[in-house]
Amino acid sequence: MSGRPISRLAWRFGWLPVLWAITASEAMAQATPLFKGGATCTFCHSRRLEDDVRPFHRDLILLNEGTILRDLDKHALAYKVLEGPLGQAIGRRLGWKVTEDQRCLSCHANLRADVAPVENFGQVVQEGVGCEACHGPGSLYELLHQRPDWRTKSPAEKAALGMVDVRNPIERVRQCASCHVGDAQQGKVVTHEMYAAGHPPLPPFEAAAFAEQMPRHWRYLCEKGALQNEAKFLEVNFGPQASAARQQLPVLREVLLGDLMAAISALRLESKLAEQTDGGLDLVLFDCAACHHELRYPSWRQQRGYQGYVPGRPVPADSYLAVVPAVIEVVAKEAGQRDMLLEQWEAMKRKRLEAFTGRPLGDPAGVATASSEIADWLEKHLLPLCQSAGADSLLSEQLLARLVDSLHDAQDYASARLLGWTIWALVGEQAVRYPEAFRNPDPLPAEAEALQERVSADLSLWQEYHQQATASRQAARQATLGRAELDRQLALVLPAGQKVELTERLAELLEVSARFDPQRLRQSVGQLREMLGGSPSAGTSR
Amino acid sequence: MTKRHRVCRCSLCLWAGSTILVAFLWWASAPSVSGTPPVPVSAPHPFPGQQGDQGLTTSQSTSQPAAANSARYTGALSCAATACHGLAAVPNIDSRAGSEYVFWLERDPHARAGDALSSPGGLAMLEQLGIVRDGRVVDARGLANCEACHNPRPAEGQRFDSYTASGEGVSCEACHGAAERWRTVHYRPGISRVQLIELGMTDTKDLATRAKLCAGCHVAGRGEVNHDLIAAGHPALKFELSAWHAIYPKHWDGERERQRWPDLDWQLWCFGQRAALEAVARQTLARAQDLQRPWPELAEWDCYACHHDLSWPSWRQERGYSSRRPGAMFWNLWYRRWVSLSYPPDEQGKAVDGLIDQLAELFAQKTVPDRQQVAQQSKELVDALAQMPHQLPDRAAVAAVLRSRLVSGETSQLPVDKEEWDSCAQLYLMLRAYAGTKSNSDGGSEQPAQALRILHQALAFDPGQNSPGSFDAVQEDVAVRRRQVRAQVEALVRSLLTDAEVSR
Repeated sequence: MSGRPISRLAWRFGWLPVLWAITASEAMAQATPLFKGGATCTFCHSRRLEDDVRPFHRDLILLNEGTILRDLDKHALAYKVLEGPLGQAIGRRLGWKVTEDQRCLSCHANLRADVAPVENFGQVVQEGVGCEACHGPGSLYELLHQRPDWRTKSPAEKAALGMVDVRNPIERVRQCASCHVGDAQQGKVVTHEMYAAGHPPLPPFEAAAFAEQMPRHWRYLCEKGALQNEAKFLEVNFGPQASAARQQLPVLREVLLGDLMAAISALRLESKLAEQTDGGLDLVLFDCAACHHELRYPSWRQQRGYQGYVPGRPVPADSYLAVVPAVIEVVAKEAGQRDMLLEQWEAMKRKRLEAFTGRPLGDPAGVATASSEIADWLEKHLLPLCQSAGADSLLSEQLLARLVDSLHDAQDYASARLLGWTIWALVGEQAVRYPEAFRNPDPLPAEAEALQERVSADLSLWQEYHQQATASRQAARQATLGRAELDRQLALVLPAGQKVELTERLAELLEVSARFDPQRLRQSVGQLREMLGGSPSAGTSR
Repeated sequence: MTKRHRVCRCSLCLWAGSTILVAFLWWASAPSVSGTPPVPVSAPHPFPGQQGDQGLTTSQSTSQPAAANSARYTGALSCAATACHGLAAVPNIDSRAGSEYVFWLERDPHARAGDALSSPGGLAMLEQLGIVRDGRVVDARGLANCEACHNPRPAEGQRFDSYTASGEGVSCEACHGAAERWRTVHYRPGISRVQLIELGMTDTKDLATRAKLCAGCHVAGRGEVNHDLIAAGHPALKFELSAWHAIYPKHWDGERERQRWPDLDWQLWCFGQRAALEAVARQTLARAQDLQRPWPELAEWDCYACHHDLSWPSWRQERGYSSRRPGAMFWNLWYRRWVSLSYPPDEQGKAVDGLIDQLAELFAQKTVPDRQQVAQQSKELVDALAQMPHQLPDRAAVAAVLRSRLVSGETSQLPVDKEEWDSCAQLYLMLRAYAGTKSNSDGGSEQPAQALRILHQALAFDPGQNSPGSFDAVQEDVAVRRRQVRAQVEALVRSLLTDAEVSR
């Protein structure tokens, strides 16, 4: 091989046009997408964080996504923990080889039960949760998505080639939830047996707060600069709501749509596991703290009583359902509709509770039916309402007030924690002022041109926004949740990012969950209400 | 030789004389001992909420024939005549003969067992369970289950008017048997134990019978304490006869009993273990068979398998699960872990061991064990236990087992510091019973007492808690505490076993 640069380049890229032609063909589009591994992604998406993002910052992406994932994000270490002491200990207790077992790798690496493994899967697996885990197996779109016309393709066309529409909160959270909640079809299930062997407990997943702490390697639409082919891009991605898309509050949408999606995922998993059961429901479907608590006296559980079920029956893991009533109350605009939805919701919840507690450890058939009914209902009735709700600051305030009410009445740690995160996310977003310039929905061509010019000339605008947004979010949370001591009672700060190991904080996190007491929580929520402005439910103008 | 008879005219003698006269008339009118027809065991029990052959006066003891189930209850007041058992209790009295009723009334918690149901805590529980709502009983079956142990009330027609209709707590006849047939004869000179048993008096002097009697409420049988009740606030029943017996305010002469049986504690431990396991197995059988009861019954499993705070690092995870599936619940250890030391390791004993293991295996295999299999398996265990003779195990054999299981270097089994709390606590109680017997016979030694004190401390629950907490938790001193348990158990076993016992 020659050492001359030109021939090396030719050797490297000469085959590209050929592959483009092949991959674009119908035949390949019909084929099943496979995992390629992140090495091909980082070829482009690996600009250093300190690099000048000038050519890109007003574009869709900054091209530093791979770097953020590799250097900051825990997902990149997902496989390594299997090789570590904890992973090995868990494997010993289970009698599994965790670095090769499908049941582990489906979440800890890009090796899913429903995607055929590739030849070099050993290498792919080493990357942990790489790009394709969320963006979809890349074998079919890897080359195509580099073409300029890719951006004007619809999400459906991209999905046909394996790319997931992560711009849509529903699809995005579906990806997150497949591991963070579980997905039986993809072979992603954490069982009670795995927990007992030492798998750290999965916290209830709240998309907005988790993404913030991850840290996210993307910008929401309203944070992006004016785009090339903007009108066309918005139209194929957001359809009739294209003009409103840039004005919607992204975190609010994440809470509305994402949390519902997490709930749907949890219910589908529950239904599936209940169907497959042999000799009783997997204990993983119950609220951990329902059984796992020291027997203290006086006992707040006994003082609280057991409403709607026989004392001593383990109750289901409910945290994902905790946000639903608040969401119904704010997205259903008419009183009649709201009452009807709430009534249906309560009836379905009662049915599920009855299936879980009618006899000790639940009736699997009843659970399977009840939970899939709720999931269907959420998809059919509530999700569309959330999608069409204008995600503006008024809605954000209304939802926040309802969520605080829900938190006040929370009876278990997991629900309280999930509600805490939604509140944390909304309070954070309310403190941020998204760049108005970016949110202008219909810039006149001339103005848009000028805007682009201004933004590209002055990078500091963007950096300033970014720093300010981070600082205001933190300050707002500190001023409310921090002063009410909620984040200490609920452990809202996750051991996220690569700087802190999960096991370093596990003792503390479990201690917090063991000390949970609804009475104490109510006091703090009272303080929170005062800080957010007044009496219970104030700020809600239905 | 002539002797002048003087008639005493003091009021006491007049009163005593009249009492004797009345007693004589009663005796004269009582049915004759030999004329009592035998009563079949399966006769329905007069107390509501009780299951068939688990009746109050019915003993499964082979030494005792079927009791007179149809006899009526006369009530504690009929025992309470001053000349009989109602003499005012004298503080520090050596012999309580004559004052049993007063002693029971004043000192014995059984007298207040019924009050527990109407106390604020009891009422709160009844409401939690949906037995009482707005001050009215809405679940009579549920209340009958509570009263079966707390306030046994014979049905109308099964009691004399002298029996307090609202109940007497756990009174004389709850243990001694319905008194209709023996009340007027049991003090007759020359009446034999066998005759009294035939008249329906429970043979409480027989330790095996006593063990079964206590187990009927304190473990299971007359009523059922299931997980629903425990969650509503009822303490879980973890009973061990020798220890309970030691602290029980006795209305009989405990010292004389101890002189009669120098190995009283050990006998109580053995009979207590067997009676408890039998009661538990019967209960498991009833739970599996009776479709009206909840299944699976969570109280069948070890309490602390689930009830512990999650912690990191976790003692359980670090210890590992040996052959058990991680996260699988397991059948309650309290009544089975050391029971095999309470009977001879002969063919019958080994068969029982095997049946216990098989039943435990059923409970560990699946999250919800198969009801029919459990019923079948527990039936076999019940039958095997019922057929077991009363023979105590050879002490030398027990000593050898203790040594091989508990002293390091000679065991391949689970070391004590890896055992669950239930197992450690029962082990402590067993060694305590063994040591009590031992110190009695060799005049008492300081070392076992010291070791037992340390063990007791190590096993004690944290304040405000009803579960092992830091005994099983993460803190570094868990290892220390558990090593301490192991060391003390070893020291104890060594000091308890004489050379002769070990070398045999």
